[in-house]
Order: sequence, then structure tokens, then C-alpha cells
Amino acid sequence: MFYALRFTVLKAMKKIQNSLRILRILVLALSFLVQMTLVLETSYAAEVIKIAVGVPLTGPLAKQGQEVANAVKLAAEEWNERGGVLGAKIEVLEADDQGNPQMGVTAAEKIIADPAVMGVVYGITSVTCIPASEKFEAANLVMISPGCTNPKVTDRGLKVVNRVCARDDAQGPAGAIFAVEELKAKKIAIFDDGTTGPRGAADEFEKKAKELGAQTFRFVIKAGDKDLRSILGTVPKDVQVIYASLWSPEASLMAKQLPEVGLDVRMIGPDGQFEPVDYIQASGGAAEGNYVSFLAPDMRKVPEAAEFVKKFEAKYGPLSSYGPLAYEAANIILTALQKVGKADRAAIRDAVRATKDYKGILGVPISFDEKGDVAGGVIYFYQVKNNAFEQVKTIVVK
Amino acid sequence: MNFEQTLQILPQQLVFGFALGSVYGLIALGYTMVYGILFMINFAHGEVFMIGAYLGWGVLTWLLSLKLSFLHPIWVLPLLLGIAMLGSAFVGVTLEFLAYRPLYKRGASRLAPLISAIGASIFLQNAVMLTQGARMKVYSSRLLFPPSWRIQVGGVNISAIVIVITLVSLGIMIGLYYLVHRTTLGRAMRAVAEDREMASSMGIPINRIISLTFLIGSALGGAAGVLIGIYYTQIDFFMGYSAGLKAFTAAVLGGIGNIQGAMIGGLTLGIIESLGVTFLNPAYRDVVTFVVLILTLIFKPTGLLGETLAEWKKI
Repeated sequence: MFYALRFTVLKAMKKIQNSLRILRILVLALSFLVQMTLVLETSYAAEVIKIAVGVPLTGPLAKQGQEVANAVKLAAEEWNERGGVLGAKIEVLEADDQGNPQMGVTAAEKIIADPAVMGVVYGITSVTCIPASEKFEAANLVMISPGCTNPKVTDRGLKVVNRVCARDDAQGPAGAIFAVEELKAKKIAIFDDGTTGPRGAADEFEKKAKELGAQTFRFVIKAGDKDLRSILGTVPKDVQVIYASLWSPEASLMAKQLPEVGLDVRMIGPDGQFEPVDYIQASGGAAEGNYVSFLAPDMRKVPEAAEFVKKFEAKYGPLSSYGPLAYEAANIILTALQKVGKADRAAIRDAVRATKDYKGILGVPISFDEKGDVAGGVIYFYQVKNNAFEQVKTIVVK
Repeated sequence: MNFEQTLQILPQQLVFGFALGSVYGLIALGYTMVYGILFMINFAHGEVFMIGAYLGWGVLTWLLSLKLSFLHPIWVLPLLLGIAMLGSAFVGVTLEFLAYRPLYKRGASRLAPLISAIGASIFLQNAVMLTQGARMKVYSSRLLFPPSWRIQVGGVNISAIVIVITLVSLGIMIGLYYLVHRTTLGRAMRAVAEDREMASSMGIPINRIISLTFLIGSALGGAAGVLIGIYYTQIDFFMGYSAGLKAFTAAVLGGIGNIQGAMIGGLTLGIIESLGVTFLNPAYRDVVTFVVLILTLIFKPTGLLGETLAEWKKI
């Protein structure tokens, strides 16, 4: 009796165990399927699409870099208000390149590693743009630069590189045309700081100025040097203008130290000096009357930009440099992304390059040529008047 | 550049070199005084100098914000120098008390305070960066010394800034020379430098003398900070590093531990650097400085004037 009972109980237990085992297998299989479908789903509809911005966020160029980042954020916000892109929200991924090539590569790697990033607004210094773009090329990730002006940035024939700014070989010659034809200078001293961007502009300036019949004298300073008196003391006293292919900290020092060596001449500088705080204010009035070339017209005078300027300044304070160009770059990337219709880096890369007559806020339609440069380089000259930049001349190169 | 042109610009370069060199000398004194007494290189001295520059900048910016109508260097400059010297002296003495004294009191090796100094230097640099921001600060020197204040001597432009910097530096150096060689305090300092134990047994309060040495050296560094701020017109949290290394070179060149040596080393280095910029590419400015350091260490490690070392220091 007892044995019989025990036997049946054991038998029943075995049956239950068996069915449990089957159940367990079923549950496992089911959960596996659920997981599979989950994985498949996420790869089809990204919840978020990112646009990255790689600029100096710390260090001496942080101010200009922050403006780029803020302009991109503003563009993303506006797209999000209109419902995002491809049904996804746009997020901005910021990476700090410190204006330093090594950090630039690190920043590029950080950006590439995030699979949600579909395009990059990268670089205001050519020296970081060049190595970073090699990384982007390998990842088929499109970049548009708001401020890398060295010819080599696009001349290497990379598919991912585009820029909304003009090239040095437009800015340099435009400066030379301005100096020789507008300011009637015959003897010109040319300074650069030995780094890729400024040196490129100085080389191009020298070539064009010689072509136009002016005599030139070349000088090199060290970036970060605070005492330029010694080198300024070696400048011939009869030069009529100085082309200072320098960033604003050194340019403001030069403006201040020129009178100390008995030189009373105007300076012309490239876009890096288009800085009300770090150039005009830092010079304490010494920059008055100097000229700076820039790659965009005075945004306050372009009707298309009025809304952007209002929104930006309400949110982030005065607009001073690369903001409008960065905003335009972000919008071109997002427009291309919408046109492509799916989050595919290579397709977006090709769509950006194919941009034709994009009408944004710059007041001129943007088309990229086969290298990624904006077709037709127009340079705007500003003069420092009453501690502000005032547009005085537009020069078209070619 | 032909000979005639060179001859034309040479006097101008000498003027700039002399001005810069006198400030180097001022900073070098801080290194040399501490070395003379403790036989240790205070690598945080460059940061004390930087803090002096920031203090001067703060006071100057505050004065400008008051929009005073009478802003004359006659009273502004002494005020800037005074506050920067006081602040730097405080930092220097605190540094000695917190970072060095615990080490040599316990008889640590000579390397220990050196490493502590490097740590203090990194700490101070980052503290200033975090509290003041990484952006450069601008000295509004033009408002103090208008660019029109300058004299011209046969093609050489000498601005008011250059004259003031040179005179103030030389004045402070002469004051220090008098202090060290003509006063009781100076005699006590020299005695401690010569033989600490013997000085102690003669009743000289060693610790107080060491603190005073740091106080004076740091105050000189603070004054140099203000002068460099006015001269360069831009300062940043990193300025102490290169200025410190250059002043250290000046101290070694003149003979470290020797007070007149630091002054002469500073002036020599300033002039060499200025000439280097004239005849070579200015990008080689620092190269010139450190070639001087290396050559001195190889061919005349005791420097131009050379300190006669006491027995205990000859190790």
C-alpha cells in the first residue's frame, strides 16, 4: 500500500518535471524570439538621430567653438520643434578638439563610435580638420566645416569633407587685392604664426601681392608669444600695411605693440580676428582702423538671417564669428538626411555633396563643387570703427 | 639682412632685451634666495609669479570699473605692485609652511621638497584656471601708459612702459641688495645659508628666517608678475611655467644661490633672447634660452659669478 502510493507519487512528480522542462524550453525559445524582434526593431527605427559638433570647447579658441556648438544646437532645436527628422528627435553630440590635432582625432573617434551620429559640423582650425577628416572618411560620416580654410582640407579629394567657408587661397588673395588696390600699398609686411591655417593664408597673400606688383617682407612669430616687440623692431619702417595672418590674441598684441617700435600702420587680418572681445576689446583701442576679412557678410544686413540672429542672440548672447556658418552647415546636413530618408551614413555623405542652390541664411545660394568647396568664394572686408566691425568692401576672387 | 640694417635695429633690440631681462632677474631672485638657504629649487615660484600677475590684473580691472577720472600710474602702479607683492608673499609663505616645511623638518631627502614643489605648481595652476577661467586676461596697460608716452633717441623708440619696468625692477633689486648686505636681517639670512646648524646655535631663529626668505622671494615674484602683465598686456594661468623656467635659467646662468648673479643672469638672458629673435626666427626664442641653460650647465655649472659653496652643500 505504502509502496504503491510512493510509486504513483514518484510517477506523478516525474511527469510534472517533464512538463516543466518542456515549459522551460518553450519559455526560453519565446523570450529569444521576443529579443530577436526587439533587436530587429531597434535597427530599423532609431529613436534618436544625432548630429555631432567637433570644435574647441576649452582653451584659447573656446569662445568661437562654443558659438559653433550653440548654433548647431539651435538648428537641432528648430528641427525638433517641426517634428524632428525621419520621425526621430535630433540630439547634438558635442566633442572638444581643443584646436589640437591629437584631440581632434580623439574627438572624431568619439563621434564615429556613436552609431546614431549621421553628420558632423566639424572644425574651425585647419590643423584639426585635416587629421579628423581622415577618420570620418573611413567611417563614411559626412562633415561640414564652418571655418577650416586651408586648401588642403578639401584638396585631398575626400568624399566626406565639405565646407561652407571660403578657402585660404580665396581669403589670402582677396586680402592682397584689398591691400594693393584699395589701400594702395606698395610695401607690405606679412606675418604668420607658423601653423597650417595662418601660414596658408599668408603664402597665398604673398603670391597675389607680388603678382600685383607689391614688395613683401615675410615674418614668422610663435603662437602664444606675448612679446612681439623684438620681431616688430626688425620690420622696415617704410611698410605701408601689415598683413597679420594670426589669431586674435596675437593680433591684438601686435596692434598694441606696433606704436612702441614706432610703426604707425594699419593691419589686415583673416577671419580668425573677427572677434569683438578677443581682438577689438583686448587691443584696448589699438585695433581701431584695422581691417579684417571674413567669410560671411554682416548678418544684421542679410534679410534672410534676421530671424536666426534674433533667436540666437536671445538665447546665447551676441553673435560674433562662426555661428551663422555653423547653423547653415547643420541645416544642410539635416536637409540631406531628410532627402535620403534613412539613417545611412554613406548615402547622406553623397547627398550633402550633391547640395545645389541651398537657400539658407547666408544670403547666397550654397552649392558644393566636386571637392566640397562652396562654388565661388566671396570675401567680405570689415574695418574696426568705434570698437565694432563695419563692413567696408566685398571682394570676389577670380 | 645686411650689416647696416642690423646696426640700425640693434640698439632697439638691446632696449627690449634689457627691459625683459630685468624682469627675469626679479623672478630669478626668488629661485636663487630659496636655493641659497634650503638648497632646493622652488618650482612653484613661477606660479607665485602668475598669481601676482592675476592680483595686479584684478586690482587694475577694479580700478578701471570705478571710472575714476584721475588714473595716473604714479599712484596706480605702486598700488598694483603693493597688493600683488602682499598676496604673492602670503602664497609663498603658505606654500613653504604647507608643502616644504613638513618635509625638511622630518629630514626627508632633498628630492622630496622638489617633487612637492612640482605638485604645488600643478595645484596652483589648476586652481587659478578653475576659479578664473582658461581664457587670457587683458591688462589695460594703454590706459595707464598711453602709447604716445615715448621718447625717441636716434631711431630707438623707448616707451614709458619699458622705462618704468626697467627702473622698477632695478630699484627693487638694489633694495634687496641693500637688505641682504647691509642689515641684520640680511646677515642672518646669509648666516643661515652658510651653515644652518651653526647659525642656529648662535641664536638665529632658523624657521623664521626661512619663512622670511620665502616672503621676500615671493613678493619679488609678485612684483615681476605685475610688471610682465603690464609689458605683455595679456596673462593666462599657464604663464608661470615658461617664465619660471626662463628665470630658473637666468638664476643658473648667474650662479644659483648668488643674488647679484641672478640679476646679472636675468639681464644677460633677456639680451641674448632679444638678439636671438633678431637674428634667428622668433619661433626659436625658447630654444635660445634653453641652449644657454645647457651650455652653462656643461661648461660653467657654477654660473657667471659662481657661488662659493659651503662644505655641506658640496654633495
